[in-house]
Amino acid sequence: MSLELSAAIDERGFDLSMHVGVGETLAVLGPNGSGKSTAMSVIAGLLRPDAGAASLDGRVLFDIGTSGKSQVWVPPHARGVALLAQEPLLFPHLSALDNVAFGPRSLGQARGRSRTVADHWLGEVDAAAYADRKPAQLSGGQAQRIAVARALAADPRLLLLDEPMAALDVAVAPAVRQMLRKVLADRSAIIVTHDVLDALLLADRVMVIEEGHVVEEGPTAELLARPRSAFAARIAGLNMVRGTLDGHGVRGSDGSFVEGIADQPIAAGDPAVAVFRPSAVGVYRQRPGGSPRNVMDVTIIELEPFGDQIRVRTDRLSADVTAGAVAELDLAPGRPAIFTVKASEVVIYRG
Amino acid sequence: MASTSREVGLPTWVFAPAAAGALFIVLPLAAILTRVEWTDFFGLITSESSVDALQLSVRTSTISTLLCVVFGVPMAMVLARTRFRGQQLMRSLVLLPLVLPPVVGGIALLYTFGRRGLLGHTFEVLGIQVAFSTTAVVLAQTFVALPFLVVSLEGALRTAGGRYEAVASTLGARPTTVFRRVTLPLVLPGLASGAVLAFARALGEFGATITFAGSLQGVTRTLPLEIYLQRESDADAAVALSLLLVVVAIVVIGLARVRGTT
Repeated sequence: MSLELSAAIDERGFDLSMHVGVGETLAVLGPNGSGKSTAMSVIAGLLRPDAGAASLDGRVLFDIGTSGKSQVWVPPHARGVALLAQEPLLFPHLSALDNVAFGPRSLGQARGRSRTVADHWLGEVDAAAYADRKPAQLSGGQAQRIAVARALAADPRLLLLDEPMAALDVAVAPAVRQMLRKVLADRSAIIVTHDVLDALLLADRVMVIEEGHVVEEGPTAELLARPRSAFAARIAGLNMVRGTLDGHGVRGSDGSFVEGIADQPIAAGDPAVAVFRPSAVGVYRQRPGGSPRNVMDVTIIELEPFGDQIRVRTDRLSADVTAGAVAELDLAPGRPAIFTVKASEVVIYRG
Repeated sequence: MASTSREVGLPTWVFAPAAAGALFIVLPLAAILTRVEWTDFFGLITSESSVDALQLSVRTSTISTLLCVVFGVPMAMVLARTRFRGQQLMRSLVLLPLVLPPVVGGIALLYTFGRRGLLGHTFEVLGIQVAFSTTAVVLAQTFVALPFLVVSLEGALRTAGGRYEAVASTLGARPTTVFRRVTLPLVLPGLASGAVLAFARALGEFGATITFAGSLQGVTRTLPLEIYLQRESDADAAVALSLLLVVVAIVVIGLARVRGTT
């Protein structure tokens, strides 16, 4: 195991554990203010938790109040943890090359050797052409590439990426993501992100944090296919009803009921989750008769383009319909609607 | 003026008081110029007492500025980058010399470093007599100039923020390396303008100096003291030396501007 962390900060309601295997990339997802960045600061040594312990490759990073022993606190510079933030934060007075050489220099290498290392990493991120430029002369995408090279040149045991693509143009983000995919392979790293693509392309495993606690974690593909938290369902693009098993369906905590097909044995009354795709939802203004399906009353919150469809977001669920259907049904924010979904389209599993 | 580049117009009434205020500052400077004895100017500023005063002023102000940097930079760092109980009070106390009448500062220094002062006995045992020496001039100037450096540097540190420093530390840089290679280069313009302000304040220092250091030619009589003294006996010399100080001040401000814009 590369990283083992457990930490609590009382006043932020933050209390979680995480681990990262050797060579593993963990994606940390969660809504704004859920404590993702707090966790990164704690691991990097920029924020001191009230209690907890962490070790990296068997070396203790901190140990506060977990036992009768005296406290241990290793300062950031001695941790071997590099942090890459949303903004590149390149040192404005240094050239790109000297920025990348900063880590090796700080670790005591000679100037010439540091520059050789820096050259290598600039090449790895396809930014060798910008070596002599000052940060002010770089575009956002170029600067973030160089910030990645700078973090890697410090030869960290663990690389933390705190929403590294969030401040980039949508046009340059894919290329930076591709570059990260290359450099993160076989490297212990944690990437904080809002973007399901980052989790899919960069991470081996995903963890979802809400309100300072881990609500879900697992291999990326599995978690996106069978989300158990509302946040994971949303980024996976799925409708979800959480509750307990009741007959052939899930009884939600709000009293709603969705019938579906359980793909594993679940005892009645046990926590269960029902998920279905927004494209499987039928939308009506009046209650339809006929075939047995799930029928739900909803209130439309917003309509937004989604590929060649329109996504109808409501107070609970989402549906994808054609633009023609929106016009025909006269759908608009604030209006009530009826959602239906066939039981055969609903998958039920343990919550 | 670049009135075409203005996005939002100013109310017209501001121009009259603005012009009056500017005139209030410029007019007295012009008045000095009208009173300068140009035929004798060079002779007046190169008299023995004038040269002594000028040399003493430049020498003591330079040393005071260095002391301000040596003590002021760590003070600004502690104020800007740490949090401790009573920090707000400490900041106010450090800035006190900015608003204190200099003569009060001189008396305070006298009762600290003077013969019968708080530390006077200690210095006497060591064989050092501080009051009424060039050392006293330097202490007086440092006392009044230090807050200027601390204020501008603390502002620069706060503007720069701690984020670059955090990144540097995660790249493996020790606190001293972070200070030398990241913090200092980032706040250098602020440090430079703070040092220039401190130098200018030290150069113009009068009240604390005359109270604490006295007025002894070549030892404690700096340029402002010399001007004050000459005003009684030789008004032409006082005017000439005043002009000299004005020129020095303008050069100093010019230097600060150039530093600040690059």
